[in-house]
Amino acid sequence: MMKSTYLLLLFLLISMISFAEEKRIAANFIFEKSEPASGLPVNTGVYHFKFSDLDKVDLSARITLSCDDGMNETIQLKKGAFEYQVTEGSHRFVIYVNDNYFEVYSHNLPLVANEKHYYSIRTFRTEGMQIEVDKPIIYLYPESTATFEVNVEAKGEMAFTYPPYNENWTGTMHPNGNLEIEGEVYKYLFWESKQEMDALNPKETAGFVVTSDNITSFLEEKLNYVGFTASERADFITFWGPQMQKEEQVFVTFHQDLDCNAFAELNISPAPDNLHRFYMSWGAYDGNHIPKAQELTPFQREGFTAIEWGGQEIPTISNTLSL
Amino acid sequence: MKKLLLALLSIASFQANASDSYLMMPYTLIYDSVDQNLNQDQALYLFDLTTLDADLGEQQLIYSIDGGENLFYPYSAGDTLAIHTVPGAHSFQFYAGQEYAETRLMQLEIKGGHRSMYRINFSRAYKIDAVRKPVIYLYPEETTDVSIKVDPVGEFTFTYPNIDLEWNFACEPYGTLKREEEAYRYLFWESEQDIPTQLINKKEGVVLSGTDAVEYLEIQMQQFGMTSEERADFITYWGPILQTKSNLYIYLLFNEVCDAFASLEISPKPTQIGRFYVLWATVPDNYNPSLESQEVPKMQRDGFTVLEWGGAEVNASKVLLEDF
Repeated sequence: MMKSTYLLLLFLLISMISFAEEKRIAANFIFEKSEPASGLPVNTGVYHFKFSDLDKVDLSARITLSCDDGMNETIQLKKGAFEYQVTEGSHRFVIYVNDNYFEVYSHNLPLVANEKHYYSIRTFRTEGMQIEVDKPIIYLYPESTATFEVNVEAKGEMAFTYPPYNENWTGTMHPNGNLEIEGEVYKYLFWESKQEMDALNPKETAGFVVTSDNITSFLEEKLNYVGFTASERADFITFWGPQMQKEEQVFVTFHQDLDCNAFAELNISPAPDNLHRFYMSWGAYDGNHIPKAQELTPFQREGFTAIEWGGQEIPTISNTLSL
Repeated sequence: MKKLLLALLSIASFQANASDSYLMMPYTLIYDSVDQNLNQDQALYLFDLTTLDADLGEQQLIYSIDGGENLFYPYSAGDTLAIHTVPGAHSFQFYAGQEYAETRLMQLEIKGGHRSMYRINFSRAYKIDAVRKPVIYLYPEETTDVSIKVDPVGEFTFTYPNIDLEWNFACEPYGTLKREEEAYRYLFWESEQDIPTQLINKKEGVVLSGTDAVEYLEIQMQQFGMTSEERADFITYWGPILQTKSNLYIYLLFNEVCDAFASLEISPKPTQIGRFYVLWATVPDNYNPSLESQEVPKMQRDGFTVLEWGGAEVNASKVLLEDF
C-alpha cells in the first residue's frame, strides 16, 4: 500500500512537469491494445480512438480533427468512437468535440502497418474547475480615524490571509489608508481562496483580447478609467502584469461590485459610503474571435471609501479547430 | 490500478507546476503490446525522443544497456530509437548532450514477443532563473528629486512604473514617490538571469515546510528592520507561493551581495541602502540536513534610507548537499 501511494505521488509529480514543459500536450491519449488488421492498403495502419468520458448526448457528435497539423477533417462519432486510417509512422492529433470540452492534443502516437492500435481519449471539461482567486486586497479610506471590522466569506476555503484572519479583521483605520492592527501598520488586507469556476468563453463573454506588448497600457487605461489611485494601480499591475505578459495574447473580462459576491461576500463595519469591488478573470487565448467590448462603471470615491481588487487566471476556450 | 494512475496523471497535469523537476521520472510507458513479428525469445523496446529539441545540442544520443559500453545514435526531430533485445529486465541510461540532464538509470522489464514503447522525459540541464518582484522603497529626510538606475545582470522582463533608462521621482519622507501627480509607494522590476551557485553557501540556510516559511521569513525581516508595510508587500507576494510547498530550502542574501542580481545607482546617494533577497528551492521531503543558521544584519534606518526586497526560485540541484 505504501509503495503504491508513493508511486502515485511520483506519477502526479511527473505529469505536472511534462505538462508544464509540453504545454497542452498531456497524457490524454491512453494506449489500450494493438491487434492485426487486414485489408488495409500497403504501409497503412489504423487507429481506433474512443472517448472515455463524453456526455451521452455527445457520443455521436461530429468532431473536428487535424492530423500532423494538416487540414481540419469532420468525423462522425459512433458510440463515442471513431477510426482513422493512415500510413505507418508517428502521428499527432488535435481533436475538438464542442465547447463543453477543451481541445485535446496527442503525443506522437506510433503506428505499425497492418495493425489496429486502440487508444482511449480523456477530455477536460470547461465547467467546474478549481481555480484560485488570487490576491484580493482590501483598502479602507475613512474620512476620519475610526475602528473597523471586516468579514470576508469566500465561496471556497481561505488559502492564505495577511495579516492573519481569525473570523474577521479588526483594527483602527486612518484617512490616509493606514490600517493599524495589533500595533502594526498595513496598507491593505489580503486573502486568497480556491473555488469552482467555469472556463472563460470569449464567444459568450464581453471582454477584451490583449497582446503581450500591450498588457501594461491596457491595464493602466482600464484601472484609470474606473478610478484606481496610482498606488492601488501599482499593486494591481505589479501582481498581474508579469503573469499576463508571459502569454502572447490573453482574454480579459472584469467583474464589478455585486457581481463579485460570486467570489466572496464582503462585510465592512461601519458601512462605507462607497464600496467598490473590481475582479479580473483572464486566460491565455490563441483564438481570433473579437469579443463584445465590456463596459465598465467608474468608482465613486466620496466619503468613507473601501476598494477591493482581485482576480483569477482561468483556462480560456480557444479551440483553434472550431474557428 | 494502472488506469487509475493514468487518469490521475492527466488530471494532475492540468495544474502545471514546473518547480519539482528534480523528481521527474525519466520515462513514461506509452504502450506494451504483442508483436507478431517477434518470437518468444525476442523483445523490442521503442524509445520516443520527442522531448528532445533537435535544434539544440549535438543531435547525438549516447546510451547504454545493462551497464554496457556507450552506444551512439544520431537523432532527428520526433525520432524513435528501436532496441532489439531478449525478454527480461534491462537497465537503460541516456545522455543527449550538455543541453540536457543525463537520465537516471531506468529499470524496465519486457515479456517475450512484446514490443514496449516509452517516452524518455529529458529535462533541460540549464534553467534560467527569474528574479521576482524586487520592489524598491525610498525614504529621504525631506522631499527630494531622486534618480534611480537599476542595472540587472539579465534582461528586464517587467518594470512599473515603466522605466526608460532611469526612474525620476520626487520622493517624500514617508515613502511616497511622485511623478506627474501620480503617487506610488514603490518601484518594481523583474528580470531573467542565471543565479550563480557560488552565491549560495549550501551549508547555511534553513530547510522547512512552506507553512513554516512564512513565519520564518517574517522574523528575519523584522530582524533586518523592515516595516510592517514592507513586510506585508513581501509576504502577500511570496507567502501564497511558498506555503503550498512541502519542503523548502531558504537562503537569504543581504545588501552588497545583491549586486549579483542588479546594481542600484541612486542619486543623491542614500545614507543607507538595505537589500533583502530570498533564494528558495523545493527539495525532497526527506532532505533534512543540519545547516548553520544565517546571521541577519540589522539595517540602520536613519538618514535617507532605501530598502529593496526581492527573491528567486532556484533549481534544487544548486542547493542540495553532495553527500545527500
